[in-house]
Amino acid sequence: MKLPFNRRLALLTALAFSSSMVQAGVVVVMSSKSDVSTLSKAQVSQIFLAKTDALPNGRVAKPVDQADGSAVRNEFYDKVADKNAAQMKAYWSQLTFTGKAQPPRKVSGDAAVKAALAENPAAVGYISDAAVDGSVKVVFKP
Amino acid sequence: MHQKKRWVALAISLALAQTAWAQDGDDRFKLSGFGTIGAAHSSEDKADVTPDFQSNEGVGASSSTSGKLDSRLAVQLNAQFTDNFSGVLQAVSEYAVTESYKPEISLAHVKYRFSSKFSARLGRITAPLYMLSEYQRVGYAMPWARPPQEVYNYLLPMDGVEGVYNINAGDAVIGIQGFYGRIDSEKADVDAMRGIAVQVDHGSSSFRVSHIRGQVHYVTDNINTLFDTYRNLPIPALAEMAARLDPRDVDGSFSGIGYSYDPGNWFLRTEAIQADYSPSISGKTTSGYASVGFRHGSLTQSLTVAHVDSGGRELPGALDPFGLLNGAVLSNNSSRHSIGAALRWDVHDSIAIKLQASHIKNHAGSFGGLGNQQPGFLPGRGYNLLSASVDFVF
Repeated sequence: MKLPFNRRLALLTALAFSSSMVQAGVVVVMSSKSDVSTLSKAQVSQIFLAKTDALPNGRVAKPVDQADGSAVRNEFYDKVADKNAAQMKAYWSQLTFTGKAQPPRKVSGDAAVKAALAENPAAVGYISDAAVDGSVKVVFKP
Repeated sequence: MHQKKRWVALAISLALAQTAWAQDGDDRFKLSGFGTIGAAHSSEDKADVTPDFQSNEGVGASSSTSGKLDSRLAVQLNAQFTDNFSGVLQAVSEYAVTESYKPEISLAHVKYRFSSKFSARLGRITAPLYMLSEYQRVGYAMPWARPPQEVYNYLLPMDGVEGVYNINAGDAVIGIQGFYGRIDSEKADVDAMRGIAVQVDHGSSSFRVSHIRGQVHYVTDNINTLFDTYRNLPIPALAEMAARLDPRDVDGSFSGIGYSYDPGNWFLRTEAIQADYSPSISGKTTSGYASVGFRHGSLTQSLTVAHVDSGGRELPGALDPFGLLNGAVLSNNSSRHSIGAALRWDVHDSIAIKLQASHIKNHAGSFGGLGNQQPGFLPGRGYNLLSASVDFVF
């Protein structure tokens, strides 16, 4: 089946819109046991870009990243750091190959992020908002 | 060509080794690396554009198209001993500085994190000269085939100690970096190198200022012969002039100011440097560049202008009847400007292909920092430099 160009464009546009409508928003979460109640966009960005590791309560933030190429990861860095996946890779190669910092620990999927947060009240992660449950609290919503 | 095939084979086997390692589930050690396979073509055929100020050959007179300017391969081992104690070992094979592809240790240090505010490194670190330069070898980290060479022509590791103190001020992070050490290189050594750099990160903006001082020793066979001869001449005024211009023991200073703005779809990067080794023949150089780029999906296009003004030396003139010292002073004039366009294509997660075209114009009478000058080389000319490269990280 070969659609005329206009029809294909219309179909693509519709698909793009519908996918952004069903796409769950990303939220930044910490363990519900953490005494941090909220983080600013700047704080989240600084923690995930290794510019600081200080939480507002004075503890050491432990960022938990998601797998390369996952939709939730791409959305998170796009909204919080204004960077796409390739820019993030370039950013980390700057820090890694000068010996300055290593990228955050990576886990696969929202459930694994929640498990990592449950182990450590200083861990900061991001998941799709549909996955939020009683084990975590939303500290920032981009 | 053979060399490049071996590099690719090495890169692939290292990447496989890393995968096997990761499967062990042991993240105490991590092996990674980066590299560039690059070819550059120069229209100046009577002198060479070089990868570093210490190299004599690159591309130009020695070969009109060459991989020497940009090609390199580096492997790195990271060790996380405890939460606060880590180490890094990095080896790089490149033509620059050593003029051979023999691997050199480019990083070898331990880092201790005392608190969220303060951490320190001891060992071989990258001399923190410029804003972007601490990763100037890592092609993948940059939008260009190579950073503007009017500014970034040093590739020197420093052996010493560095401390970084971070202050959180509202939405900004202020990093204060202090360091002390020495550089031991093929032709250029720096003793008692000490400096301070302050970086402010706020949103998409980064601002950095730095000031470094040290005792610089630039020594080559030609310089030894020239200055040993002139300083022993029975012409006191000329011997004294030679002593002033001698680059083998100079108190030098290096100051930089840089700004970058990167909100995502476009970026601006700019930096200005003043390196002062006057009154030696190395002189005083003021250099700077500005680059603006736009991203469209996996493509990044950028336009860069750069310049270097070189001066601060005395010209012996008629005082030097043999002309050799005059010649040395004149050939150290590197004044030039350039304009370049670059295209980066992120073909794959961790691989980027780049094309770059630059026009470089040496200022009147200037040798433009070129090496390997051949009979027929004329100072003050312009030339074009075309580059294609593949940058990868693993």
